[in-house]
Amino acid sequence: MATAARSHVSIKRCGTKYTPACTVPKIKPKPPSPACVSAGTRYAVPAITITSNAGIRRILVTDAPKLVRRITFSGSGPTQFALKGLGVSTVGLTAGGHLIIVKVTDVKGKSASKTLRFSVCVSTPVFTG
Amino acid sequence: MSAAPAGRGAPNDASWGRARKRAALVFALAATVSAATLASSAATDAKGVRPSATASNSSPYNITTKFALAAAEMPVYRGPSTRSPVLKKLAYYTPDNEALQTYRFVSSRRVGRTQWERIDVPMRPNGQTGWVKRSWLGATRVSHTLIIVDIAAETLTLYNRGKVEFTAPVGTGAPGTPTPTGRYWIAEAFPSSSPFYGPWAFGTTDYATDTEFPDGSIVGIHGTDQPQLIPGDPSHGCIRLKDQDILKLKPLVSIGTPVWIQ
Repeated sequence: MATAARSHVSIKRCGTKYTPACTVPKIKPKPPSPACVSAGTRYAVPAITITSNAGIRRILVTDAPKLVRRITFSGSGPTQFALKGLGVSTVGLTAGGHLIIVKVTDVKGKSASKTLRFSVCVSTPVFTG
Repeated sequence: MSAAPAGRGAPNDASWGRARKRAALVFALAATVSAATLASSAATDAKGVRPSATASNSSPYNITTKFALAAAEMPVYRGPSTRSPVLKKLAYYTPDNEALQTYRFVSSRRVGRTQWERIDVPMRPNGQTGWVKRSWLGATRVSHTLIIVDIAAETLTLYNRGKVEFTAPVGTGAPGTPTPTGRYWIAEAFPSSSPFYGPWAFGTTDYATDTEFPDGSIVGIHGTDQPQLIPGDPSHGCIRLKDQDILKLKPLVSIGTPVWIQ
């Protein structure tokens, strides 16, 4: 668990008479590679950019149901955060498709999630040979 | 989807008027597209349809292919309308779960406020295309490489931006199980654990005539434990290379590379 961007001032960035309406957080991952990942290695999760005009409170990354990363921000939280360098071990994962779920909650309690997909290589292809 | 730069190979005389330049560019694009006979069904068959893959006229094999992953499991329609019959659903994964499924752009059309994309759909029978909304696909990816498998010559040649980068003898389908010809692409790439497939394998979007493998019967490009049969026609439809050749090809090819089997 990591804590970042501590702030003592609560800024109302949205949802007031003088600010834009608060929107749900946006999660924008870089496009994943379509190629499979070999079993027993590490899958490098594509970099993810998260934006929230209210401020980010919490980011949860799970390789369902296993928790991969949890980041909590105190105070008003950042409006933008880049999630980089995340990796998921493929040890013990079955061959085939897998999901990584990124869930973001902002300081207003609004949340959004995004599902990323990757594949662990299947050892026996269905080629005709 | 926008076409690749049309200016390549087009006349560029500074003394020309703007209108003449534009006309020359349009002519050059049209000429290169028709000359290269791009994707299997890339022909511009209706008003307002723009091709999504283009070729430079410097080489018929200098082509740019655009493709994307599915962003949603939405229907693929036979026409650019949600009232059109459904061909199939977009899939996140290839049929054997060996990779994320890629779809090749053929052309695009705007209907009202919706951008529709005509895509090649990997399924039986080979060569099917359908229409999806642009928002149902992910970011556009681009490939500048091309694999040509010449069945008669029993060779595989890899072009990168029109230049030959690699060539090797191959084994193709036996007379009873021939390798289906057509325009496909690399959909999977993975290490093989079976000596039969050698150390590395690529999966294509070509479906074989041999349906012995119920989950797919995909035509692969892979190594072999019987190199003495190459070149030749020993396979059930797959394209076999000697192990040393598939390992040379491995770093040169990525998912999305078109495969023309002819």
